Amino acid sequence: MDVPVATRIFALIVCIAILWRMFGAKRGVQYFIRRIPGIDAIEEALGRATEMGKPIVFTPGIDTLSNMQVLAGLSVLGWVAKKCASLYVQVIVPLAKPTVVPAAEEIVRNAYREAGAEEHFRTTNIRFISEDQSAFAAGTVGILAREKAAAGFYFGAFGYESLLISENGNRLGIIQVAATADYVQIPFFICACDYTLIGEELYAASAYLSRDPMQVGSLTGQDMAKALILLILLVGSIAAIFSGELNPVQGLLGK
Amino acid sequence: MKGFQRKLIWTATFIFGAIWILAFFLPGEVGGGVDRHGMYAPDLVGTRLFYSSGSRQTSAPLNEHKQGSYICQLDLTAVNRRETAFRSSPFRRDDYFGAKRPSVFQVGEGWVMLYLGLGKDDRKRVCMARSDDSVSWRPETKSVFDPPRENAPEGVLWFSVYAESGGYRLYYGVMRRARIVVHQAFSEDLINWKDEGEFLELPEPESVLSLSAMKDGKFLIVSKLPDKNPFVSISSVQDGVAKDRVFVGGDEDGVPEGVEIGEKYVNAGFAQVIVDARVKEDAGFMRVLIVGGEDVNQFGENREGVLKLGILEGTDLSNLQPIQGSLPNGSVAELSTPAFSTGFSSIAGKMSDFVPIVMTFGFVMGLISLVMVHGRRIRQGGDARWFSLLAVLALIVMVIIQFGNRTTQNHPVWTALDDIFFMRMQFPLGATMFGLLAAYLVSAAYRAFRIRTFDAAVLTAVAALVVITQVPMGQFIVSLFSPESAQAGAAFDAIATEPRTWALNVANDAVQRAVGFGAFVGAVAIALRLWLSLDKTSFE
Repeated sequence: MDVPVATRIFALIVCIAILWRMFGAKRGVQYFIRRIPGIDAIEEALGRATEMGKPIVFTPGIDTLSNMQVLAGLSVLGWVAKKCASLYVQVIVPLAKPTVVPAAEEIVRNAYREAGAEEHFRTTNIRFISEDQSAFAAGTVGILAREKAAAGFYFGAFGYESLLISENGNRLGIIQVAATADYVQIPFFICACDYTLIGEELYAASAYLSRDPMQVGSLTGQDMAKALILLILLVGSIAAIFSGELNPVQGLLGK
Repeated sequence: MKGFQRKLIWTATFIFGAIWILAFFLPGEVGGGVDRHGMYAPDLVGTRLFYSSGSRQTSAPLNEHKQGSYICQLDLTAVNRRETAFRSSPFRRDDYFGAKRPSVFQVGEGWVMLYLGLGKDDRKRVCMARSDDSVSWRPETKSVFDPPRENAPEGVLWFSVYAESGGYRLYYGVMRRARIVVHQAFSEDLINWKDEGEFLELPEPESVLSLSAMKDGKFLIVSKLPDKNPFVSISSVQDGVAKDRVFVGGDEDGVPEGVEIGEKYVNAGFAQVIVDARVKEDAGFMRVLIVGGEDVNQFGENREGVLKLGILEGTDLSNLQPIQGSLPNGSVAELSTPAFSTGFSSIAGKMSDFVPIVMTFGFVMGLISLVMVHGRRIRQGGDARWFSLLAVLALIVMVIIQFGNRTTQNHPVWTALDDIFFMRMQFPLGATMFGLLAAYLVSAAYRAFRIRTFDAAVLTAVAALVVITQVPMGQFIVSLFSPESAQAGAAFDAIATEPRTWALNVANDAVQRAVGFGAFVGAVAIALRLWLSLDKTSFE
């Protein structure tokens, strides 16, 4: 693995910042998280589903478990499923990768068990659709329409099917909340969904919802890392402006 | 989950993660000599030999390093004392990814080295380093020669420089129609170069790998046909065409028609395959620097096939001999001692072999899920049962067709069925879904661009500008209002292109990078939580 030294050092600093805050939170330090309207809307959508007596659809996207966005999506799925179990709302999880099926099934089953409603968990609600993006989009839209879903949650990694799913959901009048770190798909979700979490908010959602100290700690650790990135950008920009060089470090060193 | 199972999963996750993390943070190799991964692209000045090597194995046998190359040096009177002249630097844009192919000249009291810099933009340029003693080198910040992009889309692929009356001549290789041709440039001072265009193009599809000028006006050319080993020839060049070419070394099987087969003068035991040869002449004395290695095709792909170099000397081509002190195989020296491998990268790579196994079981899980969901719906009845029945039938039919196709090794009947069901049904259906995007884009854009707030107004204005200037609509729209449509439209496009480029490349790019930074840090956080099994909410 040939990784530049600067990248290694930076990654190490980021890891240390996150771990420091995580263990700080474990020791009992309280951290503040700002309000994220998109995540607040999840509860609103679940309440609507309860009132209507209809299921909700939650998908972590089209990638495998090696994609961090999918893992972040599954992390949110755990909380959503637990809430649904306590409200007796069915969660339907369309999946595009067969390897995600057992993980999603276990997460939803655990959530129902923790809510004391394991008897309401249905294995057939965790549905492998297809690895093909178009077929996955068609299958998911079919579920939204046929099952008359009250809400759609799209948290994870998406490609062009983002617009196919969310636009159809919009036409069906479903409350939709989406979150992805793929910046090409973000505009599609913003256009078609009621609420969209942008980029890093996908990773923050689980911490925000669960208020688990370790997750909250890691979230503030991320903020520290981002502050560091911002500082580097600021110093680099100033150096580039005043040195007239394209390489800011060189400009700073005066070489 | 039972306590034992949980601990087992935690431990396995931690160990696997730790190996990947160590492979990321620790260097793959520790120690080792400077040229352990090959010696190539040399230049010789007196007894000072300058050459290139790299910090890792090359991606393909008998190839130069595409990245991570650096310049080495040694004195022929003490070949075991080899050192790095200088390496590429992240603080220099033009040799950010590597430095190779040194050409050294004594200029006045000092020394000048031209070398090929692998730039941050993946473009190759001729760069310069200076020295007072030909030992300690100071690379310059910027390149000295970057050929016009229309002639050299990838930059300089290789070069050689020769002193001539009134200045220096540089021959360099550029890519044209998937092969390499030679261009030339001239400079009076090695710093300011004037491109003089094409110098030599061999008949298609032959590529020139190196070219060096000889005193008699001829050239030593290393060239190569596709899927053949390179060969060395002597030739004169007239009007951009090679004349009277005579084969003098390398692989005779790779010689095209029109090249006379001569004696194999350029030859060395270590170089079953010659990839580079360079001639240096001085006062009736000739030295040929050869780069080559084992013919890996004879031994299988497991041989590393690193490049080595040798020096032949004599009064002319016909009496070349390896220089004094050469090894029995003709090379100047053996490659230096290999590095100690930390091994984490290879272990991490081997661990990836688990992925297909897990994927296989995952497919079975997917299949079970699919059959369970649709089987239940078929049993329950209703309108949806027919869709489910179709889905299950399609699954069974495709499995049978693919199984038949593979086991009969593409029997025409199975191939035809595969063609009908996969290429003529599944593909068009997928394309139809993709085509729907166009309609959805319009309806989504309609909602997005309704001007209800100041932000929406700005968004709409910028979007309109980008859309209109992205496609050749500007000329058309202006032509509706102006009789001089072509000129006015072109002027409009020229004016509108600037803000569009700024909106896309500056404003849009900055936001995308900001999202990317946040996502990267978030991904690191979630990876850490999972690795250390600290995410107790969902992944218990």
